[in-house]
Order: sequence, then C-alpha cells, then structure tokens
Amino acid sequence: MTTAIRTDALTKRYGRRTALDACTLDIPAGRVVGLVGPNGAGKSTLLQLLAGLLEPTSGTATVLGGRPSSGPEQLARVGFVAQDTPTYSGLTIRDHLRLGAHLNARWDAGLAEARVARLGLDPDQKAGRLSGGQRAQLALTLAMGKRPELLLLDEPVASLDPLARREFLGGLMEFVAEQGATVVLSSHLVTDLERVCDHLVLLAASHVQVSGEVDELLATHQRVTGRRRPHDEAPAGTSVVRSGHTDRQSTFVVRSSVPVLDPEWAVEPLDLEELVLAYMTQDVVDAHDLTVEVSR
Amino acid sequence: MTWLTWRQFRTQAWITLGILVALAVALAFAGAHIASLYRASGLATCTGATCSDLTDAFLAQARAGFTGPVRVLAVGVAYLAPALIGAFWGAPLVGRELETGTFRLVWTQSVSRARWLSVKLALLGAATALAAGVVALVVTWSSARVDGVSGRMEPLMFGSRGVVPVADALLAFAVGVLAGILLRRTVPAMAVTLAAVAAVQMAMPTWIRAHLVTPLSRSVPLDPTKGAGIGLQSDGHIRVWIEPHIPGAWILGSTTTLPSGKAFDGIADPTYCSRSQSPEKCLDWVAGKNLHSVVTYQPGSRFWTLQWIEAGIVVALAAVAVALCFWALRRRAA
Amino acid sequence: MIEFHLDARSGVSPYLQLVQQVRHALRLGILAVGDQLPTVKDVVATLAINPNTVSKAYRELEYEGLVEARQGVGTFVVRTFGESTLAAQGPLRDELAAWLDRAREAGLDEEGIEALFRDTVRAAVGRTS
Repeated sequence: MTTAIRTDALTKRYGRRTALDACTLDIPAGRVVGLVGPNGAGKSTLLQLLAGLLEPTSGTATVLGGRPSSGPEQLARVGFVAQDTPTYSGLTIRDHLRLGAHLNARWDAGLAEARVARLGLDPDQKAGRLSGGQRAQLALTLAMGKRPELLLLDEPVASLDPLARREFLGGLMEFVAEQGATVVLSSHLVTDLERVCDHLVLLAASHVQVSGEVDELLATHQRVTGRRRPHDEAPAGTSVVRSGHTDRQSTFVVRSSVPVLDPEWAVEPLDLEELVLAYMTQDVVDAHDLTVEVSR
Repeated sequence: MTWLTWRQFRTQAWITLGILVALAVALAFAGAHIASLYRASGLATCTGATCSDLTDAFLAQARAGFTGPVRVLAVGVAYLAPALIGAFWGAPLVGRELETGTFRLVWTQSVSRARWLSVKLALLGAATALAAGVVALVVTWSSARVDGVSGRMEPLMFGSRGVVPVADALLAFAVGVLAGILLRRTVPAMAVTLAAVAAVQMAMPTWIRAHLVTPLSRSVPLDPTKGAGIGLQSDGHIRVWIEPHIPGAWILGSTTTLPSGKAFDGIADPTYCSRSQSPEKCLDWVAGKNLHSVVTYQPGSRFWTLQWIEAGIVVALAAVAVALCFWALRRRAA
Repeated sequence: MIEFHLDARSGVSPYLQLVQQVRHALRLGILAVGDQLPTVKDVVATLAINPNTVSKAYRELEYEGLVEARQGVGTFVVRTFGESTLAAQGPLRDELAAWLDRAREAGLDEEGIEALFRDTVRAAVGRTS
C-alpha cells in the first residue's frame, strides 16, 4: 500500500506559539481523510505545510514522495482549496478557468467547464458576486482541473448551508470515484465528514490525538459501563481513553483490539462523533502516550 | 503567467494609458507653442548684449498664458509619477494577494512562487519603465527650448527630466512590492511607498547629487564697487558676497577668500568699517583687501553624466529591493 | 434504476443501508434481473458519501450472488429472491395480518407487537445459526 502523506515530528511555531507539535502521520493513498479538531488545533497549519504554503520549523513532511511545493511538478500533483475559498473577486468564472489553464500544464479544461455547466454557473459572472457555496465550488473546480493526485481542503464546508454542503461534498466524492485521488479535508465538526471520510486524523491542542481507518477505529473503541470502581480497574486488556464516575457507576471509553467479554460490563459501540468527543475530552495524561496509531 | 499578470493589470494599464495620452497632448501643445515663441523671439540669431534682454522676454512669455501652468504640471507629474506607480502598481502587486488570501489560490497552481513573482516583476517593471519613460520624454522634449535658455541643472528641473524619473519609478515600484510583501496590507504599503519615494527624491538633490562628480570651482574677483554686496553685522564682522552667475550651471555655493586662497574671516578694521564710519570708507577698505569669490558648481555640460550616475544608483537600489522581495517571499509565514 | 437514500439517525451503517435497500427492492419486485444499479459515481454525487461505502455494499451484494459488476459498464441484477418467494408473499402476508388481529385482541399495543416480533426473529436466527 503506497503512502500519500508521511510526516515525521512535523512542528510549526509562530514566534513562541506552537501551532503544530511533533505531528507524525502515515496516510495511505486513495483515502478520504477527515482532519478533525477544534478551532485553533492546528488543522490549517498542517494542511498549509502539506501544500507547501508554510515551511516547517522542524520535522519533515513528505507528500506523494516529494517535498511540498518543491517544484512545478510537485505543485501539479497537489490541489489545495484554502479556508474561506479565496478567489479573485474582479475576475469572472471564465477568467478563473483560464487562470487554471495557463498556470497548470496538466489542466483538464473539459472537466472544469463541464463542472461549471453542471453547477449552473454563468461563466461571465464575477467571482466577487458568487454566493459562498458557488465560490467554494469554483475553488474546488480549480483544484480539480489540475487533476491532482492529492486534494487538500481546509474547512471547505464550514461556511456553507446544508444544501450547498451536500452539493459540495457530492461533487468531491464524484471526483474521488472517478480519479481515485487521495483527499484530506478538515472540519471542526466530525458530523460534516463522517459520511465521506474513511480515515480520521484528530488534532487537538497542536497534537495528533488519534489517527486511523474509520472502520478500524469504530471496531476497536467501546463504551463500557459497570458498577463504580477505581480508574485502574477498567476491563482487562484495554486502554482507557476517557473515564467518568458517579457514586454508583463507572463509564469508560476504551480502546481494545479484543472484545470485552466480562459480563460485569455492559458494552456499547461508539459512533464517530462520540469517539472524537472521547479523545477531545480524554483523561489528562501525557498526550503522547495516548496517541493511538491504528494502521493496517 | 503572462496572461494572468496582464488580466490583473489591464484596468490599471488602460487608466495609465489614458493619463499618459492626456499629458502628452497637453505637453505637445505647450511645447509647440513655446517653440513658436522661441522662433519669434529672435534668440536663435541674437548676438552680444541684446541676447540677455531677449532671453528675459522669452522666459516671461513662456511663463505667461497656458504654457506656464502646463510646465508646472509637467514637473509635478514627473515627480509624482514614480510615487503613484509605486503606490498603485507596486504595493498591491503582492500585498493585495496576501491581504485577500488569493495567494493561497495562486501559489498552489503548478507555477513556483519565484517564477510567479519573476513574471509579475518583469512585466510590470517593463510597464513602469515605459510609463515613466514616456512622462520623462514628453516633459524633457516640451521643456527643451526653455531649458536651452535657462538651464536644466537646478535640482527641481534636473529631477524631472532625462532618465532620473525612470529610475525613480523603478525604485518606487520595487519598494512598493517589497512593502506589500512585508506589511501584507495594501493601504499601509501604499503609504510607506509614498513616504519612501518622497524621501529618495528629497535626499538625492539635498545630500547626494552634488557629490556624484567632484564639483568645479571658479575664482571671481570681488569688487565691492561693482555689483558685490557688502553687509556690516552687529558683531562687527562684515559679509561680502556676490550673486554668482554661470549660465546653465547648478551653483552649489561660494566662499569669500583672500588673495592667498585663505578664507576671509570677516573681521573688519573698525577704524574703517563701523557704524560711525561712512560706508564708502569701508568699501575702500574692502576693495583694498583684493578679495575673491570662489564658486563651486556643476556645469550644464555634466547634465547627462550626472543623470546616468544618479539613475544608476537608484536602479541599483531598486535591484536590492527586488532581491529582498524574493527573499521575503521565500521566508514569509502565512 | 432505483435511488438510494440514507437515514443518518438509524444507527445502521451507510453501507448496510444501501445493501438493505437493494434487497428490499428485489423483494418487492422493483428491481428485476438485468436491471442496472446506479453507478458508484452517481450514488456518491447525490448522497455525498465515500465511494468505498458504495463499493463495499455492491461487493457484498455481488458476494450474495444478487448482482454482477461488468467492467466499464456498471452493476446489474443477476438474480432476485425468485418467483417462489414473491408468490409466497401474498399468503404469508394474509397470515401475518390475521396474527396481528389476534395479537391486538390479546391486548398487545403497537410497541408490544414490534418487541415480540423482533425478539422472536432474533431467537429464531440464534437457533438456526
């Protein structure tokens, strides 16, 4: 299985503020990766490091086998849709497509024009007059027209209404189905992404909290409930992500590769949102120790 | 890249073209009118003392009517053009991209950041040289007759003619781009650019231009009975001066010296020169000193030498600014 | 051709929902042998879901021998649950309706009937497997 993105202790500091701390990831090609975390967790920084818009303070990032933005060839392989989907407000949609054609050797004019037509956009409309959803679609079209092997999208649906969100993600998934590209898209809401992503990276407080295949994460995490007992008496063979206690009852979110069979415990599966919440409110232990790497 | 550069620049290009055409038309009329005044003045064929009177008459005519304001306007445009180019072409070039976030769009296309900047700088730099060149050319041409009579070495005239405005414009453009990159906001970058251009245009004539080539000096006998001024100061010193006149030259200054070459200290003998004595007595005393006035100046013949040297220095500064642009762009953090 | 829909709150994973919807359509005779299923591309475009989810559902249906993927053309129905099951549905439905009447007479409400039905199905599945 080929690797699309590999980062090794990737760190970015702005002055004394650490935006991303020792981020180590290994993401296989062909995945749709949900990069989830609260605002300010470092999602934008990570994506911009991968796109080559930022230089790391330390550590390395390898994208499709190369260093980000190391040359035109590398740039051509990676598409990027920035947060708030910036476009040139004075330029028309047609101008933007010409921009794409002039600035990308591998530009697919047919794909881009067909997309604009299917979205019902007027090519002579100025980008500054588009709605948020239309502008996002234009930015996505520009990124797709490059026929990238990797698409990076920074909070693409945050400012879109539910319909525009559905249309945007639908278009994106159609592209993935056709081109087989790897996609990384960030959101502070996992619910925005849970239908589309098959790989999850959770960032919080500048650290990677958990990273892995969604199916695998869901299969290996459970909520177990039983009578009140101390923290270290969680079910054997599991690691505790989060614990909660009342005077009678103890609830643990645990990670375990084997089923919990002890009848003392009631076991429930977690959905992705609960899993993310568990890691975001996890017991305060050294975050590095709790970072879980689930990979095949 | 060329297409995108043109597409983003074309509105400014058309506006600039409009202004240049209007300026050229106005200056063509003024220049033609002044040329006809010159032909009518008889200056071309005059000899000896009559020339002086004819010159005064011609210059008075050129200052009157519509040609006067147009000539003032021409000088103003020659000085303003670099500042405007720096502020309206240079500052937004990268500054607006950083301000609106579109750099994230354009720097993730398949064109390296350095190439993107190179093409933009090359094309708009050429446009800058062209626009400023046209301004300098029409100003120089339309002023040629008047300059030929009254000289063009005076700081105000010098800076509005020849190649200096072109160099200033290139520096202004480069500084504008750099300010945009460093400040990442268009309007503050425009303000900084305007200030920087004004500073260069002020510093050059005030401190630098006179010393680009060692000035010439000329010693003129000071005869207080013939034209030299004399003043008795309250501390008993006297000041002797002459209004030096060297046609077409830029007078930098003058000092009063003794025949030995030493500077005249101005200490007067109170038995001849004091409030209680008659001025004639003092004049005679001064005349007996056999004083000279040493005038330092840059002759009119050095116009182009000085133009090229100054332009060279300014263009070198522009090159430094361009290098800093590339450096800052590589190092900048979003 | 059928159109898929997803219920985010059902607790059933999206891929399983797709499988169930195809099976349901086969059972009701909405889909017949030779019919084409929507392409992966169309499904993901309308539902905004990961293509792998659709592929996984189609693979499962293929494994069950209900559909067949033809390279470059699409996925087609190759088998339904058969005429016999469809034909048997009528009488079974009548019997179930009669049973429901009896259950109500016995005092079971809607919720009680559903709970009893589900429990019985689960117990039966447990016995046969």
